[in-house]
Amino acid sequence: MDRVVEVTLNGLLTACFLALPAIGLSIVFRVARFANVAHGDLLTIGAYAAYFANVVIGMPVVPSTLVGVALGVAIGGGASYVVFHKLRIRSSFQLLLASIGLSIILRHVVQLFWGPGFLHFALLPERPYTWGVIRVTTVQLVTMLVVATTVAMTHWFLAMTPWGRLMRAVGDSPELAAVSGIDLSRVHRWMWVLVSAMASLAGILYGLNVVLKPTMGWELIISIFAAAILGGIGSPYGALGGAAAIALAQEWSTLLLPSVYKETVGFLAMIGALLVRQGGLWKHT
Amino acid sequence: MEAYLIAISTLWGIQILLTLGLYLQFGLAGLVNFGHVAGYGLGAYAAAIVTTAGGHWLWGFVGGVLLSVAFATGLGAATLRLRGDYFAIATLGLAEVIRLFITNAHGITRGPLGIPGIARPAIGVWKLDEPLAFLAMVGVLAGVAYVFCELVSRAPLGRTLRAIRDDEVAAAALGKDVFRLRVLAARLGAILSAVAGGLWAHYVTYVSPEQFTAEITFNTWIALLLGGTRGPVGAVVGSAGLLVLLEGSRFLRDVIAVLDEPRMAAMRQVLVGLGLIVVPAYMRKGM
Repeated sequence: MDRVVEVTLNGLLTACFLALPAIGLSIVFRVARFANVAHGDLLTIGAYAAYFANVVIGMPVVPSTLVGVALGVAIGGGASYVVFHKLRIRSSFQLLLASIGLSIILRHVVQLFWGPGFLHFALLPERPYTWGVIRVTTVQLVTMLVVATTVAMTHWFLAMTPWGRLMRAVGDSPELAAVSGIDLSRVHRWMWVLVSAMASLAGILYGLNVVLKPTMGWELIISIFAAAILGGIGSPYGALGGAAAIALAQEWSTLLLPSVYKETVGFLAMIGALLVRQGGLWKHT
Repeated sequence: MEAYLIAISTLWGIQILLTLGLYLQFGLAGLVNFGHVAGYGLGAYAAAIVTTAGGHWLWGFVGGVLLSVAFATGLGAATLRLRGDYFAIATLGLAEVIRLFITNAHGITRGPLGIPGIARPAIGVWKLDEPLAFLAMVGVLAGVAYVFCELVSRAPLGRTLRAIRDDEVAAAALGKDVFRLRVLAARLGAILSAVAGGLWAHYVTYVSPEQFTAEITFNTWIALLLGGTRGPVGAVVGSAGLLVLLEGSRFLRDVIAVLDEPRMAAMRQVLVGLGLIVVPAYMRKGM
């Protein structure tokens, strides 16, 4: 029983790392119409930027997180915007290849500066709170709270604000949006700010809870895709459900299988779901 | 210098086999396979396991080809009905599954330790221990593969595969079994990648899981796109281009002395990444 509770908590935590990039991946797929393999590496850029502020400059964790998100948007989001919208790249196949290229560049630039090894934020080890069989640390609680708040704010942004409405209009039909006078490149710019900020935040939270390494985001990308596809790619709210489903399936599988195979389980769940329903399990919103 | 040229030519031959495999899958049939390294890894491990257990090296190649064809068939059955982008992501993931299996099936593969001591093949009493003799074997196999690809590309089968690539619905309307032909293309490509893997194992005489990351797949994509997909000759030229890109940066190290070897390796990957962005966009027809 203890083990089930522990594994479920791990699953919820993993869902927190997957949810924000899965929503971002969905938005990019819907608005810019390609599968962005470099999305995982946006997490890495944000996390290392925050590490720079936290460990190299010596700032406390909360301001470091803000610096990390800002630098993550400037570097990761900026590079994405230039590569995907400023170069003469048009077909979704070329964009897919370019995203693989960008992904390789981003994580090797990180490796160029920080080396391939593991790094940690300057956090003191803490005693977890205990309620019966439930044990959680402050960092874990804050992570869940931050992710829940960010998801709610993203929902509000997409559903209620004029900016969100523009983005959804471009997602539904770029041609119609363009002829109604929407400035496409402006929408693309704001889209990359939004999704790279979310990805950077997720990367920083992952670094605070687990570890920093140049391949951290790349290793998550298959699970992020699984979450986004399971939730119906192009649907931000489905991506949230997809993240929870994939993360729980992965962690629960460790009760039966060696834990090294947990990514495999999430990935096979995605293929199974794809074969049953190409559009994802939830309807597009 | 001579030893270096022989080594480079051997690597070129192995890369040509890999790139020709991707040519059959993407160049002819339009399959966006991001899991090409899986067949390569299976071929290498089959060669390693069979020869270190005392079997004849030929059985290692046969085993590798069978494994890799079985994998391509399974991959095809599971994912070929998916739309383009989904198929690409699925192949990327499945290759990762194979690598995880290789890393963790300690009983069969010795896990992360890898398998050392893989002997060079011997034909009758003639042992291919000499680098030049081994290069000859690689050259013969690459040559056979090249002729095979040229024949397939000119045969009615090649035309049908191109038709499916260009317009799947039209090909189906003409009575072509699109799904079966795609699986066939996936299998043919897998055969070549398994042979390349077997040669790699016998060449370096040591295999370990970290040799078979997605890097191999992406390098092969660069080679194919550099050479263009109009014919198999593109795979030969593109593979040479890839080696110039990777090896050239090794020479660059003597010029830029500030970078140590791990940083230089990272720089090489940055170059590969730039290639994947620039080549398809600005060199659409290859070199």
